[in-house]
Amino acid sequence: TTFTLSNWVPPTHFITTDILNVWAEQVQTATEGRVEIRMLPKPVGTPAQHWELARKGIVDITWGNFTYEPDRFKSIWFAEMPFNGEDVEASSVALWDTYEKYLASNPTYADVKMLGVGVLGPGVINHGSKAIVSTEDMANQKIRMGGPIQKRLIEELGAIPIAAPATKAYELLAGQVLDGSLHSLESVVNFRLTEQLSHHTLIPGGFYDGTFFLIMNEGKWKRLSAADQATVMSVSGTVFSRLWGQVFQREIDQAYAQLREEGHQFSQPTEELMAKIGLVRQQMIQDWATEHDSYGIEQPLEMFDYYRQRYTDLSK
Amino acid sequence: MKFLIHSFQSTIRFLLILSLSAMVMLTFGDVLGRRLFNTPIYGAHDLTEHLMALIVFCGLPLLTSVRGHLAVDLFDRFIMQPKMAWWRACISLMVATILFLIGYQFAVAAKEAVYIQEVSQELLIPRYYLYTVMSVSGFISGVAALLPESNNNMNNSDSAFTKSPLSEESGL
Amino acid sequence: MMTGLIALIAVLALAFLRVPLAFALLGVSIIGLGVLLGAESSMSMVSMTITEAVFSYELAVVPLFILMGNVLSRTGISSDLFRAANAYLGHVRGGLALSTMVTCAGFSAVCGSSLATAATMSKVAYPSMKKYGYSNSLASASIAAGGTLGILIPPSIILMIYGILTQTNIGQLFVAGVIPGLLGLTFYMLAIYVIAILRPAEAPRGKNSTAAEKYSAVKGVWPFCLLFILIIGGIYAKIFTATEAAGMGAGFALLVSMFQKRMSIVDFKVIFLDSAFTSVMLYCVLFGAMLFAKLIAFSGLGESLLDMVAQADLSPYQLIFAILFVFLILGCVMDSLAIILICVPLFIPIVIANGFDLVWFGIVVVVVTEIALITPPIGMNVFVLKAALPEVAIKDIFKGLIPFIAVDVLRLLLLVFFPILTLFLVNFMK
Ligand code: NA
Ligand code: NA
Repeated sequence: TTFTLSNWVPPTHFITTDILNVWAEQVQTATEGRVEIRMLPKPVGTPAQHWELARKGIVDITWGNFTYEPDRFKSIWFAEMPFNGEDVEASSVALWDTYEKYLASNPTYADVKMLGVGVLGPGVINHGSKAIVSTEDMANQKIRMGGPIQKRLIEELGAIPIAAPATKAYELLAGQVLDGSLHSLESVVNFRLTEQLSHHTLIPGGFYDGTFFLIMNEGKWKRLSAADQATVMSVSGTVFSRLWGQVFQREIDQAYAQLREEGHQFSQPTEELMAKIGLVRQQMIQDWATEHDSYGIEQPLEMFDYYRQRYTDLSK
Repeated sequence: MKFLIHSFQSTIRFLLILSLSAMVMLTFGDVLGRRLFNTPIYGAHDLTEHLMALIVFCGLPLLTSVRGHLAVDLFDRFIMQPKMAWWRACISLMVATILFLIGYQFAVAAKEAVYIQEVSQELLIPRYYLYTVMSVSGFISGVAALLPESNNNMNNSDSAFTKSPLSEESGL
Repeated sequence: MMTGLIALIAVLALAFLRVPLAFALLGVSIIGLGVLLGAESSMSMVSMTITEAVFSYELAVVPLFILMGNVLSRTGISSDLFRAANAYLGHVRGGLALSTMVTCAGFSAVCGSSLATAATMSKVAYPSMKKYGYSNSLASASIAAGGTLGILIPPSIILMIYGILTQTNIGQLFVAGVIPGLLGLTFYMLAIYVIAILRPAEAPRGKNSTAAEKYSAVKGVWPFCLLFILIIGGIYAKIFTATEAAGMGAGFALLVSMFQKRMSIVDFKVIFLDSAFTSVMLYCVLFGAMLFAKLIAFSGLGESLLDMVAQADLSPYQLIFAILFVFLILGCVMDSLAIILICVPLFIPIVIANGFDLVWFGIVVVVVTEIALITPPIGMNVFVLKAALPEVAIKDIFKGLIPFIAVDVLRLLLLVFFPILTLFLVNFMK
């Protein structure tokens, strides 16, 4: 069987070459060629439409970011909170375990087969002209952000949030529409923003995180024999999440080294800024937990604790 | 009936002018606000997108009723002959079918948007509202495609939809 | 691959049979995707694709540029420009035709459309040229040719659509269009000058202008100069994105025309409705083109073409000429927007695979489709002109266009072999 895959990053991007292609090859080898994956030459929808594309079976397999649809996947917001940790592999695998245990049966995730999840890695505050170390430095800065958690963080720290996809950051920074932009270090390099973002504030544990999925249309999945399903899962699930985490970690480490070499300025936040972020985080988690009825999770804080525990167990 | 159609069309025109003016003012205000006072309008992009959707789907029934869609008129001398009337009817039918399909699909999309909590990126405005407008517009346009061509000369002072080089041609 | 090929032929056939382009594209795509993916998937792609197009901030610029062009063309700024150009150039050989060219180029700098440029200029420049005894053929041909400058000199709606289709930076495309556009203007003016020397009877001298006349003529065009500086300067200096430049341009044009009392409430209504109307039409075609591009992606036609090209072992330049040839042939029978919408998604993978610059390719493609606007049998600019000037025979316009087409081909070759002409300013901008 050949499955179509819609991919919305360019063919040269490391997600294509080092994650999706590698995984597709593993699937093909493991099933001895019974399952093949054909990547379409261009994405057949916006990044935000990629969940629906697979759910409706227009494309068989897609990947994407959960919070590109701002309200839909509220149940997974816990994994995008500040201070979730800097070990990307551990975060990604912990998220997979949490998904399996708490979310797989949630109606929000119905009609698709989850093949793997992953996280972005620690979010960094990047600025074009000055080091952001205190809340004072943040005041009135126009900062690009890409999700509900990031928006709230920026607002509560007194800056001005501007919503735009990371792909637009270059144009907006060049046009001085933005003063700064939230990215992981890897994205600063991969979206070619090194010239425009020269100051990076590394928040211990991460300023925020991002969550990603790899899914398959459930109807298509069910057409595979039980044996083939098991074989596909032997290279997906935990294995995919680990691959994802490893590749992202490698990219982040390389980006860090490269930016260092290019003379970028790295700063640490003041205790005051850390305390403020911690306060906002507390508030966000509380608000998120009280809303649990809207996303159908009985004990959201228990789920969050489980995620934190898995991360601690997995990270060295 | 005629009066009803006329006032309906006037309302749509008014909406079109309003949406487009709002778009200009929004961009103008956003850029000036950002440059001069360091206060961009939060959600300006989001609002622009909504206005655009409104413009397109308010304009669609009118455009369809005056047969204003871009067409290649290379063989007009042949296709406009009386004996080709059947083919022109086929075209109208095909256009109407597609427009009805669009109307139906957006009705489905509106229903799903509630279920999957689809909202806009910045201002988190539910998509459900506009999908409903788009669905209704699709159905009205489908009917307009089946009705005879409207000349739309009821009021000469605002005859923007009579064919001028700027609107008749692709203008590109 | 077969589905893709059949679909391509079906779209072309239906379009020629006068099915509105938007619906030819939509209908064929729905059926084609139904064959490949099943009816349900195909149908749900219709609403998803329309949503994708409608809720796109980048595309929302299009109406703003259209509005700006309409405001300026309805408020008589083109006559002011012509008067100013004429004050300086009128007295030389072929002066009125030269002024027409300069005015076309100037007007193009605020208007995104060739046809609108040609239509406007036919009203502004043609009567003067006739008054001074220009031949029908030269007078009309210079307007038809001058109109084609409209889609290259920024802003340009076609370049914008190309940028969105290929995810190329629109600001860079605009900046890249400047030199090829000015090159076109220079070549056209040289052609006119040569004609005026060879056949003086066709292009007599106009009258001399006094210093006072020159001064007052120039005074009338300051809003236009400001606008040009605002838009191109703003994009070039990275003060605005292309999107913002459109909004600022439209807003500024409206303010100026209200300030100078060039517009009544009725004008205002007509201009806004007209712009909305044109935008809706454009969006409908885009819905179709985007869905069609997805059908092509699923059908594997692009990959097959890529394989074929690899097997044919063409050199990159043979390849580019083969692609340009297809555009030129289609251009003889189709409108440039339609060609770009249908063919660019098909050829882009090949262009990328052979390492060509997408900004450069965009400009070259636009030049080719521009040439198509003035070549027989179907030259949209010629038809617009014929509609505006019923007394001129189509045959005469085409005859007059021969020298202009010749210099256009020369310009095309220069642009193909010297990409630096296109990319110079862009590199500078980076
Ligand atoms: Na232009
Ligand atoms: Na032609």
